[in-house]
Amino acid sequence: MDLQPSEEQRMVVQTVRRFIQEEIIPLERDLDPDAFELPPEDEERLTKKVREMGLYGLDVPAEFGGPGLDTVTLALVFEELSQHRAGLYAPAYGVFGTVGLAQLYRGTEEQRQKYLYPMLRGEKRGFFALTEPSGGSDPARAIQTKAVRDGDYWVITGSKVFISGADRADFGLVYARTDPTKGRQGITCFIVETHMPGFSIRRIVHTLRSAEYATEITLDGVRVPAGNILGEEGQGLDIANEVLTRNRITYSAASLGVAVAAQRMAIDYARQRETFGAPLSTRQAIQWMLIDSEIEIRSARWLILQAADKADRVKDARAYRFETAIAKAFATEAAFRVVDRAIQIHGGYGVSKDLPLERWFRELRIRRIGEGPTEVQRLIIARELFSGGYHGSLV
Amino acid sequence: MLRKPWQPFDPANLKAIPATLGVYEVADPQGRTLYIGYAGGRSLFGLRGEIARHFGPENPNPVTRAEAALYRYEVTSAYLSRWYELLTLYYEAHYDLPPGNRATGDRPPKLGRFHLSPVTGRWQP
Repeated sequence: MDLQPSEEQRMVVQTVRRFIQEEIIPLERDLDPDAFELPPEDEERLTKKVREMGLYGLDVPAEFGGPGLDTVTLALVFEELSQHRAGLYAPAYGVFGTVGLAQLYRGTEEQRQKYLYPMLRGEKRGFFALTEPSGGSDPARAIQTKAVRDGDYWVITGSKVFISGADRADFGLVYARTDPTKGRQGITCFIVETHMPGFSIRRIVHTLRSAEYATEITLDGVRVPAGNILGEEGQGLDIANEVLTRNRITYSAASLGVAVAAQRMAIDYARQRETFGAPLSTRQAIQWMLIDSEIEIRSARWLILQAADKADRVKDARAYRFETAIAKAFATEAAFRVVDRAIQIHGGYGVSKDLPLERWFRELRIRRIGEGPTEVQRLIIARELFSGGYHGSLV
Repeated sequence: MLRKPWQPFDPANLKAIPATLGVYEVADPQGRTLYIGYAGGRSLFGLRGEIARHFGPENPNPVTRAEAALYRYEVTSAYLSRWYELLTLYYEAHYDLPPGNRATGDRPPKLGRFHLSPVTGRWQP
């Protein structure tokens, strides 16, 4: 058991940290405080730089041309990547490559050629469509979008909501019910191209964040070739859950990164700002806020790293879903509290758009819902606690 | 598009425009949209300042400087996603950006697509 990062991990983390501090944060001084993309010339220049660093497509496995980082290293990197104003939903403004649809690694060679490889090269964009107006936390029951077989095609009808990037995508993974009698085993994943007749964006869903807005999409009799089923018919949710579980680790790590950045700002400000003749840092009320935040930051980090370590060791997502649920529930809730305290310490400036705290606060509120809300993570934890094999110790 | 009536610009009523975050449109006297803009987090006087800029003598935008007569706005803290939405809707209706947005020389944001073209049956370019 070694709780220290390796030399390689230190090197990668320090490289990313330097990149964020030297390349990204200076650009944010001129961008709108809610901006979620860089001017094209900066994006092109920095993407080229990241490619030269060998870090483009951070979460892409080595066999598909990525750096092939393990989950622990990825968690450490995502903690750094998010430490700027747009970092929660647009880490480094996407110049490290956007998080791809990892479900496509499970595709056929033909599907990989047509969708995965162009996506990894940055030539095509994809979206992920699971959530529906009827719900997202319980897809086995909530999915009402139907797919009906018609010869060599499936005809898909329904709608999806809170779908990021669908308006700019070339294709997407759409989950539809292919057998209404089979519950969870009746959900299938389809690769739907956005130029297929019957596909349209109904509206943009405006939320607390301006960055990376969501869309609502309509599928009105979209005819999809049978060859566009990803995996097996009826196995859609297994494919989805495997990736969603792993993604919750980096999702939590990015939330933690913002908490670290907010804590750093709060400590700096508490040292400088004087009230009634003494710095804020000498006031016990302020010290205790910062202490509570530090305890939560460190707790979140170890929970995330424990989940990441297990993900690297056991591979099967069902075996580390428990640890991931604990990390996600705690890290996102804790990060929200840390940023809230940092705002309190900064006073009026904390809620102004002069500082990134107000944006982090808004976006972290969404973080407690996205990728499975805290309550669903608790359900997963409870299921494990009552599964019969609880022993509670590390060894 | 914004679901608000066009208003003629009157400097005497400038203070009636809120100094908040939001999106706005500027039009010619016939109500043809010339420019779609937003008042973001770096706007000095929010919508009031951004709208007034199009009607002032130092307006650098040649299109609105020559033709601007009307305006309308919407107060929203989601000004970027709403601005993006308005531009996309305009683009899908006119196959182009508003003339005043084109005239600024600024690169437009990367627009997405909402619907297939009724003419070609494909996404707009």
